[in-house]
Amino acid sequence: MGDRKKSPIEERKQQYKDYLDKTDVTSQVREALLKLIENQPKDPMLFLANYFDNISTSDKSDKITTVHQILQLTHHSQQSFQTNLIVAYDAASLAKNPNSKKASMNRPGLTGSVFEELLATILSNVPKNLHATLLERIGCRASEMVPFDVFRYCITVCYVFVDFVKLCGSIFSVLCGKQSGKVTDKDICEIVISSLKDALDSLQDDNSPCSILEAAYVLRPDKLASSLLSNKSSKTDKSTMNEDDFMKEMIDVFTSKIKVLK
Amino acid sequence: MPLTQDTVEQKPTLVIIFMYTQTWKIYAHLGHFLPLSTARHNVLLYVEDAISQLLEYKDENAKIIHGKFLADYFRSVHKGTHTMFREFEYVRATPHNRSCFIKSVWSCFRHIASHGELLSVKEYHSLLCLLCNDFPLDVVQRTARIVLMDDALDCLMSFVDFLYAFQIQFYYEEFVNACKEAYDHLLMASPTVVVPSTESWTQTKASTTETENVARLNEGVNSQTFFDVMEKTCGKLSQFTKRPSLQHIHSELSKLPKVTFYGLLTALSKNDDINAEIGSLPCHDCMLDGSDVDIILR
Repeated sequence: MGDRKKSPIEERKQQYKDYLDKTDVTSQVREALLKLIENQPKDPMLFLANYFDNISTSDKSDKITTVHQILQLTHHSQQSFQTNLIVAYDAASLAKNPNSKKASMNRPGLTGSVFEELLATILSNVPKNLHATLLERIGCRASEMVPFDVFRYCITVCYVFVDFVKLCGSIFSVLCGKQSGKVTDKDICEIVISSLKDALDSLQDDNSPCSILEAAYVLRPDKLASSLLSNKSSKTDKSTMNEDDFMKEMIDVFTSKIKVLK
Repeated sequence: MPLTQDTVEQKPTLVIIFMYTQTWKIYAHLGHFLPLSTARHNVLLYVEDAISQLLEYKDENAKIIHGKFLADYFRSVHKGTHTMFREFEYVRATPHNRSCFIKSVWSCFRHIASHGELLSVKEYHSLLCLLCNDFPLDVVQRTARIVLMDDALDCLMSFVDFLYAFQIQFYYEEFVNACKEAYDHLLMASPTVVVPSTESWTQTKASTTETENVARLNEGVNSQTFFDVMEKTCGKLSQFTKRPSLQHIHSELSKLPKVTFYGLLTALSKNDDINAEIGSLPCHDCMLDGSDVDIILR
């Protein structure tokens, strides 16, 4: 095949192709599309915007931020969250300095200090007083190494906890109803809290699908409604409960079910 | 995305990326769900456009952070500010683009509504060209037909009337065209009045006068028949072509026994349910509420 004179279009194409390769745009876009297909987000444009934002700041970011970004790609209920957990674990376990001669610097594995920092990042939007008890249960010492099973359990618990906190907030505002104040009838709150406690207590230790369904059955709408209605007593001085106390009690019920790892 | 000769010439960047990255191979493996999810959101179109914009931009500006440029592009698509000052082909390319463009027209020119000025077709066209320099006059003329009920087309129109009619004409362009065709067929097929006389039946049909035709045009067609035909038409459109829901069309058609095409379109443009479905403009009563900041943030 002799040297054909390239047409202007072909030359231009080649120029573009070389430019996109040289600047890594090709591989970045390919990665972005693969992540998009894997995670199937509801809003692809926002997903892509966040993805490229993370890419452009990734040289300056540290391990914790990178791992956190990987975990944020999809909601914990999605199948792709499991894959992201594996990728995140690998990223978190990278040796600090693989070329170092010091043994402690080039050993791969997830250290307790990195793990604690990561948990703190995930829980950063939740007020500290609310997540303190959770961290007590699932935290670990700085010198310990964290295996993947523990990592998966704790990270999932954190994300479920974040959703749970949001849910409790909205439950409280529903219970407040039309009142503009941040307090509501204490008895109603206690009924809700005890219903949740009963449901969780009835869960057998084996966590079989049957027992989970039975526990959920305890929380069905009509049972909750009948317990709330039967509370219609005519006490003249009704005690009230504010949002912080309600949240604290709900979270205590939640954390009582978390395995203590420390 | 078919790789025809035209595509190769017009979009060299796309061809390069996808052939080079062998992304097509991955797409083939991933099976049926990929076309649905990406086609619904037109992801490939936006990625193509992002790369083309990047290549254009780098020619003018040497210093460019590619990640940041792409992030800004996708963020502007998400926020809806991406259609400003873009060419017509892009503005018209996806339902999301069309809806964002309609919103931009409202937020940029709403002051005309508050001043109560009436403008002509050419003036509205000039306004639209400020936001999209190759916007065709044809679309604006068709919008005028809706507002003015296909009559006295050099009349002046209010901004509010124009905007809602423009929304129907532009957002549901394919639907409107398909319905016009269906309506014209119905009109042709309308039975003529057979006058009992000594003349033969075929002769009577041939002698339909000019006035009878005009009368038929003004009266329109039977609403129920038109609705049935529209249902069939909607069924033939692609699943990704936007159309107003049949329930709302039916509620407008059931108001009168006979309807003309532009009569129906005017009614659809004033229907608040259809407006809410599209989601770009506020309801008719709230047209002048809120400051500019509110509109852009909404």
